[in-house]
Amino acid sequence: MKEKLSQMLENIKKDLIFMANEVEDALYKSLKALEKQDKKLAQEVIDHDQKIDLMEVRIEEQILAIFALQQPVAVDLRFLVGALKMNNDLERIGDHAVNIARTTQALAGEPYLKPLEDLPRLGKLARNMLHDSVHAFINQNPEIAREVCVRDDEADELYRKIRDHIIQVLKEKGKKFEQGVELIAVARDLERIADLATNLSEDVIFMKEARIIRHGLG
Amino acid sequence: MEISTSRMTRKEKNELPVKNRIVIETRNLNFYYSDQNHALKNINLQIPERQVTALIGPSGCGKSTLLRCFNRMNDLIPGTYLTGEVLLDGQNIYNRSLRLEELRKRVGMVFQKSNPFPMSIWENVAFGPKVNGITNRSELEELVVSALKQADLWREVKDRLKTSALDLSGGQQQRLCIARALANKPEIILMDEPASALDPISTGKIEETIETLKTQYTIVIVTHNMQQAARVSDFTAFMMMGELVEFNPTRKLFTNPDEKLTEDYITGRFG
Repeated sequence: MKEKLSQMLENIKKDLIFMANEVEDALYKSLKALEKQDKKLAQEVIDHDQKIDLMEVRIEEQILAIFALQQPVAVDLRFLVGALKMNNDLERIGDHAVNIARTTQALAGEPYLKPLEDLPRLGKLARNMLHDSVHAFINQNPEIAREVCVRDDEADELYRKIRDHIIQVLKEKGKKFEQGVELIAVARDLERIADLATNLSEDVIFMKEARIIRHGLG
Repeated sequence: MEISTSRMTRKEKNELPVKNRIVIETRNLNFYYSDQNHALKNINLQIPERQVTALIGPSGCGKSTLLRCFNRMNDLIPGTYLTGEVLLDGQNIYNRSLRLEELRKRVGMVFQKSNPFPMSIWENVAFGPKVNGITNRSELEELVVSALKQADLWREVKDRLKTSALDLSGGQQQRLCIARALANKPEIILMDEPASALDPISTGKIEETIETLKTQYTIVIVTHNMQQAARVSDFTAFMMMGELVEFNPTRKLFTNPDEKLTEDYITGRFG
């Protein structure tokens, strides 16, 4: 029995890592598509999202089956609760990547208000936070996870800076309002991805230390 | 008196219901089935009043032995002896000044296998009070009805109190045994695997009964079923090879135990 449960938990971990890689890839492609105004690459991200959605459903079904059949406790229970939340957050990150891809398609062929600078920076920050959260999960390392959580403030600040800057440019130029709104939405997507990456790291800390640190509780 | 064990962090101690006083306390309790068989090793445990405390651990860990120390049931086994103390409200129950009948009246017990007497349902429940000298019919009636209601059996048997207790189902027989224990108006009820031979529905009823009873009684339950311990108890003691490994609030023990050994056992990695 114990081998069976251990194997089931190991399978969930593998599936989550696989899904996380797919999500990281989707985010990378969506940002590249935005930067290069590559409609084809954006479409690839949109088409691929269904695969991520199916993975999420499959992982959730596996976790629910373990809850029902194995009645996990202690470290196993914490792992599964964390995994269930991570599964959901990863899927949401995939959705945000799709949002960015759709914006790319909407804006393709239309020169940007000005060269994108801070937006790719925020993109890189969000990607790194996601990558490090996944790394923390793979290695079950709460220290790496804590470092991710600290960076969330940086992402929030960068988002506000981008938003304010775009508003200022729009005021000055008095045109391309739709593009401005779309780019603020992209910045918002990236800020949300940073939040979700932070959630992933908080879940790793919960798995390892049984401590809930979100909402400033830790 | 506050609960304290060396295993607990300050945070955990703060989570304990300090309003509940300690009714049973063991101090350096050692129990021997023989000189070669040291079954309980230096147990220091405090059982809070009107809470459910579960004793869990692998077979042979000493949990039933410990439970039976609480009302001196082990005295019946030849060759056994113990050192240390078991205090009931601060009084050592192994002190000769405490009468065994008085102890058993205060500390009732329900066993794994239901053991109704071959007599009517009414007579089963009235047996203890009668032995304890209650002869007044109306007083007995009141005790029997009250005990059956508390054991959640009244509705099922109120129209057949004169029929044999042996005609009841297994689950009903076990609740009858609980009612029989309650009729003596004990302070503490010891339960040794009370639902291990029952189907899930009967088990559920026993667990509901325990939940209700703890508002008035202190309950100590031995169970092999860890999920049952998690469901019904407020505190859990994990034992292994005669030692108390961990005593903590149940919620803490089943989500984030202090001891690696506890975690290995409850997650099935033990061995």
